[in-house]
Amino acid sequence: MKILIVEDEQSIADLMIMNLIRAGYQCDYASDGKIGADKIEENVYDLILLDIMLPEIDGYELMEYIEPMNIPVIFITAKGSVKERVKGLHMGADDYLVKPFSIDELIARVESVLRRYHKGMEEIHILDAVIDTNKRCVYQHQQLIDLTNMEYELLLFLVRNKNMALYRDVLYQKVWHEDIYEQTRTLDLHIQRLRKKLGWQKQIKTVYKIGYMLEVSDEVC
Amino acid sequence: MKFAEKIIWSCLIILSILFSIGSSVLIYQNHHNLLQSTLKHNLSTHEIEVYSLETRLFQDSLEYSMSFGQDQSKMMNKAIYYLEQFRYTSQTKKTYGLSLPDKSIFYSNIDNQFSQYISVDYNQKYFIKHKDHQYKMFITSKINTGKDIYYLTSCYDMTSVYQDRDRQIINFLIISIILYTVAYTILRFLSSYLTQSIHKLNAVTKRIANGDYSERTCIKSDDEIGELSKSFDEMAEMNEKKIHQLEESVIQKEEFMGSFSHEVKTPMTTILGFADLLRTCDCDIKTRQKAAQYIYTEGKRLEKLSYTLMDLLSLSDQQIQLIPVNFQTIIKQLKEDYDKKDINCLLKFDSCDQWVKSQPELLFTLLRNLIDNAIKASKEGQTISLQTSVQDGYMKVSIIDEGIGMNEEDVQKATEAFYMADKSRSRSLGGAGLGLTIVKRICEAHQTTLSIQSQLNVGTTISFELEVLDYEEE
Repeated sequence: MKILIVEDEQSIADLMIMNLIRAGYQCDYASDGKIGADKIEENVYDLILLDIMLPEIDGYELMEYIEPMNIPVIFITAKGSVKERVKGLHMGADDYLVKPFSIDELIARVESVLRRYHKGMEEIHILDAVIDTNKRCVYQHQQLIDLTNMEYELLLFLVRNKNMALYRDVLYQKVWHEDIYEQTRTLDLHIQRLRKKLGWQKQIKTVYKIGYMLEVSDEVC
Repeated sequence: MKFAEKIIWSCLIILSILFSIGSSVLIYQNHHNLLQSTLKHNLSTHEIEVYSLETRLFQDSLEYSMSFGQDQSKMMNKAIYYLEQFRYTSQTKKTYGLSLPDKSIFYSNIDNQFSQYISVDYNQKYFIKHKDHQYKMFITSKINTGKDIYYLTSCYDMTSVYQDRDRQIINFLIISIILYTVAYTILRFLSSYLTQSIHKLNAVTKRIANGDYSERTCIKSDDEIGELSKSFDEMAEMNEKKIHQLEESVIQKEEFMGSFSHEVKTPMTTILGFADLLRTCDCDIKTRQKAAQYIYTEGKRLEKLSYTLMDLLSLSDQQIQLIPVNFQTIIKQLKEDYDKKDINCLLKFDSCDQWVKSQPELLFTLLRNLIDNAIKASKEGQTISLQTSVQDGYMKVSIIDEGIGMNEEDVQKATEAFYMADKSRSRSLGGAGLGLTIVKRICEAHQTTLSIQSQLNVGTTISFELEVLDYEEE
């Protein structure tokens, strides 16, 4: 899955690249519209993240160039007015991301756009399980595993951040979208149930003083 | 009640009052004169008749007393005969009555209802009586026929005099009604013509109230309404200008806020994103270092932006006091400032020992911003020079570089807030696009304009003028 990022702000581009790579995508980077156009010419991309205010060729111009190629595009810009958004979407963009955006939002939108194009990781194969993100179902050895909604969300988050030690309270916050830090007991409970249901007692590790981590050795993956 | 109607009715009322008074006086005077002349005429007629009757009767009595002796009834008949004669010869309508000193009436053709006035009591008197719309004048005189004494009462019909008056009054009423109708019609047209401009004013006011600020009355006349509409148009003009200014400043502010939010959002996204990464997972030392580095540099960028904005805000808030400033001192400060920094370009400053009307900190900021810009535009080893020349009491200060220059469009937009000719380049050099905006504000405070001449890849010359002062340091 190859994504092209056209963004003149080095810092933001770096941030996006780091997180997209972490989420399992391949990334390419262009610092202005001209380089972006060249790259689109040379390579085949599954998705383009396009900044609007670009030096040389701006995002809208580049969009006109991309449109006939049927490559999904997400606009990324600081111009968040309804007029601007409508303009962008009318030009053929698939989604619109307004700065400042959170990384989770970026990943979610990238996924949803790719899903729409049936390019996305509809099925995530992890360890001995298969996650169908369209049906929101988890299979293990062709057997449907019965998970609650929150358990599914938690699993998805762990899978997306596999091999990374995740802080407990942030984990709780991001899955449950609540700011109460003390309620991490709920998290512990869900982790225990996930371990039991999937039989991943070892794979979902407790990291001392930090939180949890889904460990997937590269050989198995 | 409408203004037009008010005018109409007040005019009509005044008109009718004055007209009535005038006509009444006229009618009364007419009547009075006619009455007087009729009276005089009647009196003289009566006098003549009395005189001729007396003479004839006297002659007759002389004749009678000789031939027939005293014959009273014959005398009386004679008198009646003469009176009948008078009656037929006269053109005026009159009647007579004859009475004796003992109040007995021996002859009368006066209407019976007036017969009471035939009497000796009214001797040498005249009066007017009226009954049943009939006006009669009575005059009674003594007639001496020698032996006998008669009293002749003449009764003149005065009805026509009074009828004349009544007719005049009726005529007056008819004429007034016609006149008032005509006056009303004329006033109606006149007032609607006069109030037409008021209606127009009203309509224009309503249209302006509805937001059509370009509306004007354009009523050309020398009267008060003309003046009012002129003042009104002036007011509308002022309002339109003010509103236009306000709208423009709102647009400017919106643009500023848009650019500002863009400038803030970019570092914000980076900071939030990397901080989120750091707090979510226990990442490796390399990633952590990179994230921390980004958070630090972007935070610095925000800090610098906030300082620049503070400068800008303080510039627009305070009234700037211009004082004599030694230009050489400022240049010295600048030299010291840039000596500390590591600059790849060559800086050349003209020495200029002049006093200028300015403010030390502002002048320093102004020059430093311009030199900073020049440095950003220059490549390694290129020269940046600050030149000064004094002419007509003004000192022209120019900052000249040999750098990348700008095209015409960029020159025009150069002083707009957050405008960057080469965004990625000036970003990487730590600019936010506010430098020239500050410079422009400072120049405005000095009542001077900034002139920019630039050519791509040849260089840029930015210059402004300062007032030179004759000032000796104490």
